[in-house]
Amino acid sequence: MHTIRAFLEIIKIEFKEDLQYTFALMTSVIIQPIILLINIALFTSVYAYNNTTQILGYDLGQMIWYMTSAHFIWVLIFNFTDFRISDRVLTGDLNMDLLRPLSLFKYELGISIGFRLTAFFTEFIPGLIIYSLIYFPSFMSWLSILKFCLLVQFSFLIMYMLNFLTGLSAFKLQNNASITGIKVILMSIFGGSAIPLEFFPLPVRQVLAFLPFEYVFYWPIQFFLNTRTSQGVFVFLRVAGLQSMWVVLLYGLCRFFWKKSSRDFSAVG
Amino acid sequence: MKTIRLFIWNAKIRIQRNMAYRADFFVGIIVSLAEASLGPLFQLLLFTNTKGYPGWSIDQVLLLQGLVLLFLGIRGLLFGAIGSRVANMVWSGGFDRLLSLPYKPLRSIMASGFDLNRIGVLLVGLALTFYAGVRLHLQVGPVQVLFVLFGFSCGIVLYLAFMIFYCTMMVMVTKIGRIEEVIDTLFNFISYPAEIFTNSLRIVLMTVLPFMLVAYFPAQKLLSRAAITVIPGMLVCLGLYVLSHLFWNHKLKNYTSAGG
Repeated sequence: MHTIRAFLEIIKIEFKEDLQYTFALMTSVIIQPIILLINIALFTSVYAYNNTTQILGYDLGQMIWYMTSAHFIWVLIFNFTDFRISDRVLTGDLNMDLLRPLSLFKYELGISIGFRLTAFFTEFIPGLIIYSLIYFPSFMSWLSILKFCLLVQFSFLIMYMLNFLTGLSAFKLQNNASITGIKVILMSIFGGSAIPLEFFPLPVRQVLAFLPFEYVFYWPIQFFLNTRTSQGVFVFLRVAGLQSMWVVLLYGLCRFFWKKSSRDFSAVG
Repeated sequence: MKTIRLFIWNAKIRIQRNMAYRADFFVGIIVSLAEASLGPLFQLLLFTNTKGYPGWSIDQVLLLQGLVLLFLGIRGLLFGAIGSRVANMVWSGGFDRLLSLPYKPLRSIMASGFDLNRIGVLLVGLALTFYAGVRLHLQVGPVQVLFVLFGFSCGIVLYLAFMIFYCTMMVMVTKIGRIEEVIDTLFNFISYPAEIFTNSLRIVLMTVLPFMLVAYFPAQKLLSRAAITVIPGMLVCLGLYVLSHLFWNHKLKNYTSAGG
């Protein structure tokens, strides 16, 4: 009970702290319309030139909104856990974390939840309204948004744990900025955040199904866009099941590597 | 001359810092190579799965992407660190120290922009431009090189104008969020040919916000195709640069330290 109260308190404090930077968070509400504008121009031109209403299963509106959906997922799952752990390993400040009555995993999870709660209210909700005014997402339904919101919580957990593991790499590497960079690239390319996965050849896609990245971006996007591949309860349960499996697996890895690396930590950094 | 010496001195220090974590730096270069390849990869996959967009073949688009990356690489290498450096100085109270140096503050800032991490973008840009040039059998002479340099210069002047406005705002209000991201996002317009935009937006992108001058114009010249009128766009770049300087000088006179 005490742990839960402490955990909720961390979320509350982080939420309050981030509210001080509402303008910084809301910058994406300025940035994203520029990207949306470019996507509208690009894909309108591509669809008209190809004289088609569907490309790889996406209609024009869905294709335009694909990148915006990927942006929404980044908004809802992004956190600095990898950087924060690395920074504290480098400076030696991690010894303070080890004195807390809450594990580093739970403490950082609370920080990340608080951080993203702010983004939900300052980036996701205003963004959804503003971008809908620019290009109305007629393909979307309340049910598709609800399914998206449920699945994106698993995406958040997967992202958090990948970041936690990346953060732990600092125990060996000290500066892990490049590992963080690799992770972002993998997420962008193999997760379907930069390009819809349908653009890749089938053998590549078959390999990607065994990695966690497409369950962070590609599948939640499918539900958000209400595409044909996302129809039916079975698909939803299957994706949620696979996401939970990754959550459990990554949690096991986090525990294992935390035990292993924290044992060798010395506070001089 | 003094500013160039200062730039070289700053660059040397930056390289030494990068070398302190050598393994991380070299992995970082690989990451930056991969990051830079995202845009061309997207275009390649788009053209593999569709007919693309009117007036452009995949090799021509790769040439455009190569020029874009070449520009972004040069820009990043020379001035990529300006934003974070000014932000750090303002937040840590170190900006006042800059005012006591024997250099004009803005020159000191410009001379501290070197960012070696962007070299990956430059390398991908070079490789891609060369590859597309060979595929397209381009005849590149001094005139074509001058056109490319002209486009890139306009882009750098435009970028510096935006960055000077950004730095001035930063010094005035201390925390201005992710405005640098807005500037970078605006520069996304350079990655696409003018043909995909509506007529009105095309005119805006050639004159008011002349992003089409940076890569589209040199690409058209290299492809020996009808290019665009560059005079209005060039004047806007220069005008914005002069305005940004005036704005900086005016605001610096009113600066009262501690973010005042």
